[in-house]
Amino acid sequence: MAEENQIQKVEPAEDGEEKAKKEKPKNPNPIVIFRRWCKACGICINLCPKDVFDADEDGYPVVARPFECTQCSICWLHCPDFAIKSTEK
Amino acid sequence: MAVASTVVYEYLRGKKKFPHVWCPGCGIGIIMGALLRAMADLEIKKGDVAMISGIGCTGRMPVYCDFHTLHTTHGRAIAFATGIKLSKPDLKVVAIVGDGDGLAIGGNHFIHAARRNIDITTILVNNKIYGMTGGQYSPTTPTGKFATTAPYGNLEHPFDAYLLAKGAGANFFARSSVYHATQLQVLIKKALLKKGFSVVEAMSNCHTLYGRLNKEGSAVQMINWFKDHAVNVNIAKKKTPEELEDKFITGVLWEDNRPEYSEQYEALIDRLGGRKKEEKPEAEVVKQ
Repeated sequence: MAEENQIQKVEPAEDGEEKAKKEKPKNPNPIVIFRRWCKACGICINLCPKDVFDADEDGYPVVARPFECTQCSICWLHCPDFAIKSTEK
Repeated sequence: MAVASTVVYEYLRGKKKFPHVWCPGCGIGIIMGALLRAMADLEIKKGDVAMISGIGCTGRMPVYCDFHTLHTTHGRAIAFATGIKLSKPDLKVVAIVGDGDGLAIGGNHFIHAARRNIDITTILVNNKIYGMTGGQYSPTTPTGKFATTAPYGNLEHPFDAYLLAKGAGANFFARSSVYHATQLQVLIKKALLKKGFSVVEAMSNCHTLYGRLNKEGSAVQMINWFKDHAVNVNIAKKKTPEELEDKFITGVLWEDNRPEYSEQYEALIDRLGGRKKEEKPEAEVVKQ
């Protein structure tokens, strides 16, 4: 029994797509940005370890890769304008 | 740590005052967020806090926070805070001072509040320059750095707020920076719980004036400078002074347990029999 369990654990790790299916569905909208309060300072874009944000033509952040977000909370802890909030925390 | 991204909005005067006046990327907003999250962690109610500030970029902070707030004259934040603490000892009194506001114009109030050891939590926002008035050099501008009043480099030696507070007799001193927002929140929480005069020095970035004049780059580059040059107090003990030359030390640097002033003041009132109003509750107990 122990060997079977080990095999079951190893298999999803080999195939990335299957692993993603077994985990809970990822939030398509993890971060909300209030554009009216944002001053486009670029701190969230540069500090994000997963590179979730992109800058638009005016420099404002846009959530470009929402499925990369791990809810590490660095962006909203460092937002000086209180313009970012998480939908999960 | 029970922090949520929406908890700060309960403490903000959001509908009227935002977006705020600070420059894009200014660290004061990050420090304010850390302060409000520390308050939320301790479950302090809005009505139990008095927040006092002087003049300067930091002086705008109480405008955005929904506590009892005072925006006072230049350098006198700690003087007003002393008065409030003595008349209303149950309030949690937080004084927000900048480096110029707290250490130059209000330097006298700073050392004497530390000497009295009155229960005020002081947030010292250190951006190394007078930001609001146009970039004059302040008591914490390092030697050789440029300011609008020091076009050939600053000749003076800067204050170390830690030695000043320790020497004057404060009970608590901690230092952190805007990059270390979570550490800042934890340190402010400790300072709020500590009785006596407690100081949290928050290193902040002024990229608009200090960063531009000293070629230290944008807000992001200055915040990353804090990341590279911060040394925790436990690691700093093992390092030589040469290694720590251009670094700054973070964490709880000083802690003491001297008696607190407003408690002694209350005890004096009791000893002299100066409190007649408190007989009422006893009379009610007798009736029941």
